Amino acid sequence: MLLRHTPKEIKPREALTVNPAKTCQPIGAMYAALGIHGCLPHSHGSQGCCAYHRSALTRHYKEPVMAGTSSFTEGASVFGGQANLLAALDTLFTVYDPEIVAVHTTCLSETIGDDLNQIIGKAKEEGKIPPGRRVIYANTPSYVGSHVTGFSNMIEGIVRGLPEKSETRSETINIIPGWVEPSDMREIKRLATEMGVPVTVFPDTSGVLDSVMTGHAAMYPKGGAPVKDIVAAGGNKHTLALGNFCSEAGAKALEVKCGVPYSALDLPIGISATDRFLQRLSEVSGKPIPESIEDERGRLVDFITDMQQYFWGKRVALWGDPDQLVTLSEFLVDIDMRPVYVVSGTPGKSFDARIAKVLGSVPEAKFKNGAGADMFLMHQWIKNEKVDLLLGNTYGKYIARDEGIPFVRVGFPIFDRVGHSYMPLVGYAGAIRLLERILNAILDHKDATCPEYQMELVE
Amino acid sequence: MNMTQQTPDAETIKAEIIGKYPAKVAKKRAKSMVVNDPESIPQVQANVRTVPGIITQRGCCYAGCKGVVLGPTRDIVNITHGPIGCGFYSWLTRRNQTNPGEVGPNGENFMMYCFSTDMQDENIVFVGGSRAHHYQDLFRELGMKSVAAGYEFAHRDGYEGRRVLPTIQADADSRNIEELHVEADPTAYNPRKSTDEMQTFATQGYEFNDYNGMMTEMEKGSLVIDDISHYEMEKLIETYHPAVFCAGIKEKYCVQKMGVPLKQLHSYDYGGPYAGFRGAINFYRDIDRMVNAKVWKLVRPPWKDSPQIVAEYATA
Repeated sequence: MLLRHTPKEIKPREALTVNPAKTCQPIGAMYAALGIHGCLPHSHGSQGCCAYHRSALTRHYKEPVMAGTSSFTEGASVFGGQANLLAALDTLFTVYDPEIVAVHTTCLSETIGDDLNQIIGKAKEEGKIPPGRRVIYANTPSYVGSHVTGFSNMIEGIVRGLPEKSETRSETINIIPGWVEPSDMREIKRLATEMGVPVTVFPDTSGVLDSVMTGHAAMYPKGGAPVKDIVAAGGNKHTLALGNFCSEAGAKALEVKCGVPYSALDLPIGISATDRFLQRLSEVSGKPIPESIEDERGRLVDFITDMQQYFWGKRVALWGDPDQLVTLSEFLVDIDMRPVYVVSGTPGKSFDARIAKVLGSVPEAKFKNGAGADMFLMHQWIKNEKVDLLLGNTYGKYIARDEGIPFVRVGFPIFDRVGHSYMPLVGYAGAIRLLERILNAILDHKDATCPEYQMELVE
Repeated sequence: MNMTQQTPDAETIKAEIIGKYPAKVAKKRAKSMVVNDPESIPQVQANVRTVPGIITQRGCCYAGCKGVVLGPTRDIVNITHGPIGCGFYSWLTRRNQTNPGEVGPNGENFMMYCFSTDMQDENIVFVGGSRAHHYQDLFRELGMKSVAAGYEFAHRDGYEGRRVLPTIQADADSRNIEELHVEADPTAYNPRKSTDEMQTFATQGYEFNDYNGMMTEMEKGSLVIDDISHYEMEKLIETYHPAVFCAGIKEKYCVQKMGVPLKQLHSYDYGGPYAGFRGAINFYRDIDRMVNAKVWKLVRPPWKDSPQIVAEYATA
């Protein structure tokens, strides 16, 4: 037994998180910033934070993750980090030549109270930011919210720093895709192209965190949303914000700043959420959903009807980030699975109401987010009443092995498998991939553990 | 690997690398990057603070404590007191294998757990490469030459050897380490070899408490770099085109994108062990696999080297 100290009996806990279902803000800000072409994220704090975030993203993507750090020492902790950030910006622009630097704070620089706006202003005055180059920023205190909050805050930082108001409106639709994989961002762009809708997707980590092997390491890979496109986003027709937790605050800020109206939608994971995404994209662009996409949907529905017997009634435990959990749960309900345990460490009251609605037809479901919602609790729930499938990040492998439960990796981080950066979960094609993996996990488990006389050749 | 292969002149490379930095940074980095001479070991600036913005390999004090030192303890509940991230990132991300035995009173194993006080804003009061030496031997045994090496973090004696360094600072450091006095506990200290036994070994020619440092083992004209920056690393690879590069997870995929396999020296890329004779065989096998993997020859599409065929297609 790997998690041998997790008891079945659930006792009240205070002030102790065990096996968290979240991490801290700055990593989300770093990930969002990597979705801008030519951007070098910069961590304003001690160098350990930056090293941890780069390591975690690297383990997840098996890709280079470049970021600078202000390398705080005791001095900066007492006198503030201004000198460090000024020196860092000078070094970064001189040596690494980024088009844009996206600075985020850490718990230390937040607690000191460094004013990034003022320091960046000073850097400009002192000529440490070369002409035509930009520095944007986000405040990401690690003791508020989670990595999801940090992602959202950097989207707001991008909106604060880049889009410009325009007298005219283009036909282009902005899409803020939420914290999804490079493969998902690529798929969202493919769907829009298939519909003939011009879109600006930002951030866009496709081509950055799934970059090609050529024999040359590009400091700034060819992917990412171009700065000029994000600047022009202020003059676009409409914004679709995918995922309330990750994208809505940014879309709202863009509306306030530049008057671009927005629609807040769920992440297009699963059939119903993809339907809503495409319908809204069709409405705001005036372009119909083409037959080719309808056929993709048809293939997904066909898959479900063919294999429905293996999904029906299966109990699922899932953990991760609120935007994903909402649409994953909805999809599971759509295919007659039962998402019975849903846990997110990310706080936020809106999650409760939203997930309660999604799980309306699953009265036995337990869900919890924020303080006290961790994988330790979820494991205890499982010990009290078992599930048939685990859906979540890499850390689920210990529960899967101890309890003998089939496990499909989704979310962040995935340290021990690949595929997430190459193949999407969003859209109908993504849903087919997810279903294939769920089905394989369930049937592989059955083939490995069923009594010999029950072995079936045909399923 | 051709040992007699001509390597570029290290002084020239150094000057080229340093030349790109802003003046103040250049002055600092120049002292941490020296051209080796094993006969007359040059002084290397080590264990000084990282220059902001260089893109360092270094992490933090907590990572060393929680991950490295406390990481391999299985019967201790380690609680991280702070915001969630620190505990999260150090949760099972370093390799520690243990066989705790059966579940029971002696089978404690908390390695799979992450305990954190998960501090929130209301709790905040607002107030205002250590192994580079050992592996050079193994590479030598494979007939491979180390052209440049350095530590992510080390003291000068790690580079220059355990001998009298007249210019070393009193704490071998720049204000990072407390001065500690250690003495043996008269009841609890139980040495595995007695003083007499140790003396016998010494007369038989065994050496103890000795360390010659990395630089005495390295060739003349090789580069020694402390706290290497990302930029310096890229320049080295461009210059030397090494058969293999050794570093950590943050460097791995960047170096490999350049067509050079990278061996992680912290996690061994989840392989190993490399200690002892059997470990050395594991290491040789891994390096052979990495250096001679066929994939490196697949990087360049064949049509890139046959432009005339492309031209023919285009005109056809």
